[in-house]
Amino acid sequence: MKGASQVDWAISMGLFLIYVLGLIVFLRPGLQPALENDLLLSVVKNNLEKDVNVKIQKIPIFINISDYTKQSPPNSGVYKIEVNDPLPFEGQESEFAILDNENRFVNFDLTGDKKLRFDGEVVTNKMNIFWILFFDNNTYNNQNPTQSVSINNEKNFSYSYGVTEEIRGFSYNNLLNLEQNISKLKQNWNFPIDKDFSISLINTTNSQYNQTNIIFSYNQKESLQQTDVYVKEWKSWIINEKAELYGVILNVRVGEFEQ
Amino acid sequence: MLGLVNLNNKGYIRTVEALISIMIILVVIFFLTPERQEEKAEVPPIVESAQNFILNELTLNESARICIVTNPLCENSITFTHIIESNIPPSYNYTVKICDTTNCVVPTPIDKDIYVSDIIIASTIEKQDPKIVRLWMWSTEE
Repeated sequence: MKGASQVDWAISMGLFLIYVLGLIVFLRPGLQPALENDLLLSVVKNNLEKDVNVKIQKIPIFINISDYTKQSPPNSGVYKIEVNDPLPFEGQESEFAILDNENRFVNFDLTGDKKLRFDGEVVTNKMNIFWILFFDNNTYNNQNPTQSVSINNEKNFSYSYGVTEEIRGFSYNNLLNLEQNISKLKQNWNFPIDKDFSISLINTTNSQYNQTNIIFSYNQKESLQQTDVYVKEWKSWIINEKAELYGVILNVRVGEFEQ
Repeated sequence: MLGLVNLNNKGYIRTVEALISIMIILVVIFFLTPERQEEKAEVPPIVESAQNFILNELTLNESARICIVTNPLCENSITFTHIIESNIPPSYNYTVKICDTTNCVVPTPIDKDIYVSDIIIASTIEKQDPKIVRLWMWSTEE
């Protein structure tokens, strides 16, 4: 009879276990894993973008030398073009550059009172477009204007600025200047010290690339056997000083690598 | 003997009580637990990445912008098709259309998941004539 008296607690225990299992199986308490698989990939991606992305502002300036309300509109030709109004943009002279319509740098400087002077070819009966570039914290190697004949907006032409365009992309120089000490970089990026990552830059946007397309690698090492390696690949652009963009693929691997 | 029967009855009653209380607790939990949000059907990352890149490239590439805004036959031009074809992932197919209005559809496979994305290109430096570039993509795998 002693055995029969144990039946009730045994059933109760069974029911309790079923109840707990039911809770877990059917209600699935909504706990999210603290470390998602792609969290570390996001850490690398976000920090990489923060460190190497740059922004260049590009402002068109339209020069009209066929404005006959001006005192002496010039003929077509190459001149030193002077805009005798202060440049309405903040920044140092070395952070600015000017491109002509064929995307070539032109000689340019800013006077003490921030007036714009540059060499350029202008044509009559046409809206001549030049592009002012502003690259924060950059140093353009601008040459001073050399043309002997100058024209200015007070006597010779009318001008207007267009809408500022912000162009963003990866700076290849910033990528090359990434901290080479991986431990320091992990520390700067708040990346776990016991995990590893690598970065590759591929100079094509075609998904079917090969080894020869890889033009930059950071910490490329074999991953350890029997470990998970997570990979993220995305397309982006490299930007150069002229604000020209080139499509590239960035590939980031995260895992445990051989030392 | 009588005492033993009474003892067993008590055990059964307690078990029934326990069952009822479990049911009450389950019912309460069921109604109080917040509903889990249904997971949205996600666009595969490879498709999302390709669509973002292609559409942004079309806006940033001056030749492509000029083609889209000024050339009515741009859909067949090399400038335009090269940007798209070189960035479509393997085992995916696509259709692209340049439209004047948002009412812009094309025939697509009816037995596939279709991923659509579009972008408005409003003007070039010299001409304003807004166009919508819409890109449909689907997997070719069974």
